Amino acid sequence: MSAVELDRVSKGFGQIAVLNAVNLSILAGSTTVIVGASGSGKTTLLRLISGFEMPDSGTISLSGERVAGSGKNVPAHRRGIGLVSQEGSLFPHLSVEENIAFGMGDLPRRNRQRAVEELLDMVSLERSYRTRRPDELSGGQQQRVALARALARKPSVMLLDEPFSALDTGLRAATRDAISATLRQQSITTVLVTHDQSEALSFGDQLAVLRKGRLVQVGSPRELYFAPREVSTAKFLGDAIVLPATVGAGTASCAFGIVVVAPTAVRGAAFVMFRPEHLVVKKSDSGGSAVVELVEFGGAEVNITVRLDGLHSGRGAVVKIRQNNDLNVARGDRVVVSTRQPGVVVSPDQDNENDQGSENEPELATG
Amino acid sequence: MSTSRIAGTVDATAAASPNRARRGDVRSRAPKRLMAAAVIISALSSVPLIYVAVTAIVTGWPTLSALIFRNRVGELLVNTAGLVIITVPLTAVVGLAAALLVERTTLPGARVFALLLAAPLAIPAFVHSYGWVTVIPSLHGLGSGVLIGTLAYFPLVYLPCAAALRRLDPALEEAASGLGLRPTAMFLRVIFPQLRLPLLGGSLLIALHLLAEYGAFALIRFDTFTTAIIDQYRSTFNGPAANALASVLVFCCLFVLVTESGARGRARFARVGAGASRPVIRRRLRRSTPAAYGYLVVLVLLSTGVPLITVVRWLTAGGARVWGDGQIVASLAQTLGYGLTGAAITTVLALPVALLAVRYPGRLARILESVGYITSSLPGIVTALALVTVSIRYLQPLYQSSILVAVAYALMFLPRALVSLSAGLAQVPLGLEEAARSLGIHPTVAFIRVTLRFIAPTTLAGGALVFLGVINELTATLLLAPSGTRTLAIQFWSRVNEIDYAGAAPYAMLMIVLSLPVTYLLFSRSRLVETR
Repeated sequence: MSAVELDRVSKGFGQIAVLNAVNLSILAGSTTVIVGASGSGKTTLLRLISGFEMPDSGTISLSGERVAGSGKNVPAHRRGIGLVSQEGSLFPHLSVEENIAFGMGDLPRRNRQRAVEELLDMVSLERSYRTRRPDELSGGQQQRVALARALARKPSVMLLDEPFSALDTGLRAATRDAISATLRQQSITTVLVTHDQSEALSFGDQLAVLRKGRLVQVGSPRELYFAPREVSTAKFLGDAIVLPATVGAGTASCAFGIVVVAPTAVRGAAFVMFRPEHLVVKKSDSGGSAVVELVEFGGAEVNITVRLDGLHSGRGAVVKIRQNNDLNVARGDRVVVSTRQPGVVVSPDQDNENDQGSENEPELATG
Repeated sequence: MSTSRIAGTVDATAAASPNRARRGDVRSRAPKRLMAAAVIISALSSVPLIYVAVTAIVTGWPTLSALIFRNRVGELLVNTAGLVIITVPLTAVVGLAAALLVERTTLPGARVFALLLAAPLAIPAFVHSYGWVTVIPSLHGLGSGVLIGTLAYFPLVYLPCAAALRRLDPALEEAASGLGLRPTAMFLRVIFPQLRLPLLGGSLLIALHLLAEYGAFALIRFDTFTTAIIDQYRSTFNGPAANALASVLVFCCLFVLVTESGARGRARFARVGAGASRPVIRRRLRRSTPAAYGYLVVLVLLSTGVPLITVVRWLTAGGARVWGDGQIVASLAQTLGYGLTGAAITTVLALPVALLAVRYPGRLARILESVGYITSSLPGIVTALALVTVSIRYLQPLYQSSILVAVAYALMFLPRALVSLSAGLAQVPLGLEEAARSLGIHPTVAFIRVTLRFIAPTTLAGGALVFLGVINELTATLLLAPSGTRTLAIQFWSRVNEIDYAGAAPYAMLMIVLSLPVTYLLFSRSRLVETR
């Protein structure tokens, strides 16, 4: 059963259309990540679900009950959702206990204290923090208190609006893991909004890519990473090498030569995408298909920029490939570049003509 | 070729990670009830403006032109324009010089002077005049008007300039110094341009105060539009003539507003760049120290010393008699009543407009907010005349009632509450209220439990500003108050009119005593905000 159902939801502010006919179904107890660049409409989508904005058209249902659209609007405080924002939004004038108990209603003091302590346990915070003020907590601790506060009402859906983005890298991972574990343990349907690609891939069961107010692809993180449909999705979810190609049956002709591609119905001019970890560079003494232009040492890995001759396809390109640092090549060396996995045929972005490129412009091969 | 090569480089290591733009605390659509409340309040605020326009139309051009284009109006125009043109630059120089000495030099005792230089604000302008007339009874005319105006109002330039000087980023001056600028060039090219906004803002306020002031100039027998309107109205009950003068006065105010707006342009100055700001650079005065002290001491003596010493002198001369007229306590209670009621009503009325302006900014919100500002820039006499006319014609029961006086105060002082409330609301993240709502709290309860709690200090500050305005208000109260009204200002004024200067002294002293804590509160809050 869907815990959250969005049916052709559109929203604009003045002349600016922010969301355009968004359809999204989120299973009860699952975790969905909505990922997109700044201004793509992620936060608006979350605010529509939470009830802080009204859709211009379309409907929103929570646990099968329509809460917005078609003349209905259940206010935010009656939707039974939990919300944790980027800033945490802890009330600075209240202690941790008072913050967590804010939405609990009138409880006897002892019961309230016990409930707060249980929630602090749940989010892995020491009980002694109960009396502290928000400004006496670190950013990660504040976010955990915000989660505890939201959990206090036993929400059916938890909405997380970039809750980790204001934290330092180390703290971010630890807080993310703690919050993720708590939510899974409680089997709470969770929607996380983020622009962080690694967070998007690791946090959820379902990943939805939002671009310019349009949901361009929804699926498992693995599916979206390895088989993106559009160029932008491929690039957004990780390092990608996207080359113009002519696609045939099971193969494509591109700057790497003739390469195997994953099954696709596309034929003719298109783009083929490779993840850098799927490419292999080997030094060649007998004249390779590419010349090393730059070698950048990056610790465990090395980034090698090579110029592909593209003799077979007539399409040259300059690409940057990531390899283990045991490869010993230098600028000017001739190398052979091969692929470990079939390429993935991706379409130009439907909403951006500039991304389409053409066969006559090999330099548009980007990653 | 190289360009295309760079363009064609596949940077597989550069993962897309656009910075998340922080969502402003702005909602899409204002609730209907809030919008309706703001529209009603702004419509009420626009009554004086509509009144002036309608009066001009109804009176008709022939009558209006006959009333306006006469020698008397010419004299008033020369007097009023002369007063504004001379006083405003003079106060700017006096206020700026004081601010520079207090904030940007190592002058010992600068903190004491910082407070003393704000003190004239606690003394009503007509009490300044009273003090000076006592010292120099022959005082009258333009020169005297300029003297009183400068000494009473220079803190309106001093305070914002001092605040701006405390806030200026010293890195700019260090950078300019590194570029070889000498101190004079540094002031003219780096510091002064950043003081343009507070200077213009303060100057605008002073110009509007000069246009609206009655008591201070009536005491020194210097006729301006405002004094003439009140004299016209009170002595001859010549409504059309008073209204014609009021319309000229409104045009003067609008001219001042437009001039200030044009001079301000789109200038905005804010510190840019990362890192914490450092304390401002203070200069040693060395040989100029005695001159600087002399300047500040003389300024404090003239602006605060003269009126205070005069009041004390009259109190001493009057002895116990002046305290025993039996009306002081009643007058004090009435003034406090009007002050507190006016502050409460004005603050409540300002809340919907401030909420709309801060949380739902847009063209309509700007217009509704502006109406309040424009109306408050009109002299109290115009607002009072408008309310008198409207109440006599359409709301007879309200004529000469306390409610009408409270409405007048609200119209005159709405922006004082509006500015404070807006500043407070802008500092409360909308996320806090939304967090409360997401926890199942009703929006109204969430607003009360979260937002009101946070804006309480700024709300009180706004209320205090209104209170200060109300307890020192004279012109509108004179025209609108019910018979038997005896506020401190009215009592003071009637005693002075009877040449009973000793009898007026207790009322002057009480007005100063009531104003001092509020002035100190505002002074200390401005320093607190600026040093955060």
